[in-house]
Amino acid sequence: MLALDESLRTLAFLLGTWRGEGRGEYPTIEPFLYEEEMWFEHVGDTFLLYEQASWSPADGGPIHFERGFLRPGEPGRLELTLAHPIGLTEIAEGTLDGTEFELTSTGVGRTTTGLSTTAVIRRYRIDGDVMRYRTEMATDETPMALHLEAELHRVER
Amino acid sequence: MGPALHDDLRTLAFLLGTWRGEGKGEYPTIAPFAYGEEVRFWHVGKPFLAYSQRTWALDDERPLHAEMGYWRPQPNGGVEVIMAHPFGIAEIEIGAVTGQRVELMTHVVEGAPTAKEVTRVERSLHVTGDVLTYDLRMAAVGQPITHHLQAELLRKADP
Repeated sequence: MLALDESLRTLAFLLGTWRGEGRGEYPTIEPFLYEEEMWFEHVGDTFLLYEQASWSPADGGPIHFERGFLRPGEPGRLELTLAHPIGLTEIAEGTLDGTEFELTSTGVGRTTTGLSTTAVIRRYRIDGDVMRYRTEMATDETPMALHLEAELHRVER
Repeated sequence: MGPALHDDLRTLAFLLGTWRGEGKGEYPTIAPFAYGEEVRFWHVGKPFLAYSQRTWALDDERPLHAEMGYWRPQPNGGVEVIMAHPFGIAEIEIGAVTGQRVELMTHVVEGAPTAKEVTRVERSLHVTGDVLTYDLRMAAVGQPITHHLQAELLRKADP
């Protein structure tokens, strides 16, 4: 087993597999429920691998995926680089306060056929083996609005 | 038995699987180096391929680089690749698929405050049977587009 890099000690509380349920909403769509699994792993380097999958509780159909890297930035800061299969990249940064962190996108890259997302704000709070997060999103047409809220439980460390 | 391959993925199906091999890296600002690499392409029934890549130093196996993202086929042989890098950048590359050859170049690159400065990446990838070869050229840290990586990977047999 690879040793956790020193620089990741402040993020070790995220490591493992998380699973739970969430609720999505947005001014342009009908509210929906989703189930989700999330993974944070390390490979002995100075970043965490982050991966997420969500699906419909009704038929198990895939809803969303995102994958990327989370790493410490300046002291007390975090940086996230993310790829979305809907044709978006997201660079976000923010503050880490114990086991709470907030990430605000500083750049959203879009393919020519990508969705019209312009900004994302993510807030995470972890209490032991319970994670709660809240995601807000803005698009070309809609100002920043609540999009996702979920509660996940660590199922594997 | 996983989900059926999405119709749109037929042009990229030749990439599916786990590939493993070795490569050589060079750049004007660093000493040449040899690396081991594993690349994985898989699908979940949606119109994109999921992609993961990891490299490590051949001498002491320390991790060197990783990429995670998605490959999306586009009409008329186009392809979009959306990927995150661990050193603070996320990148969109666009390009063309011709048979089993893919040419990609940077479309958008976004960097975090402490990111390495990368302005452009170009990749040429070719698959013959179970052999994948690629070349990667990069403009970074003030250097013009320059050859950076070359590798040959073999497709691992299905488990």
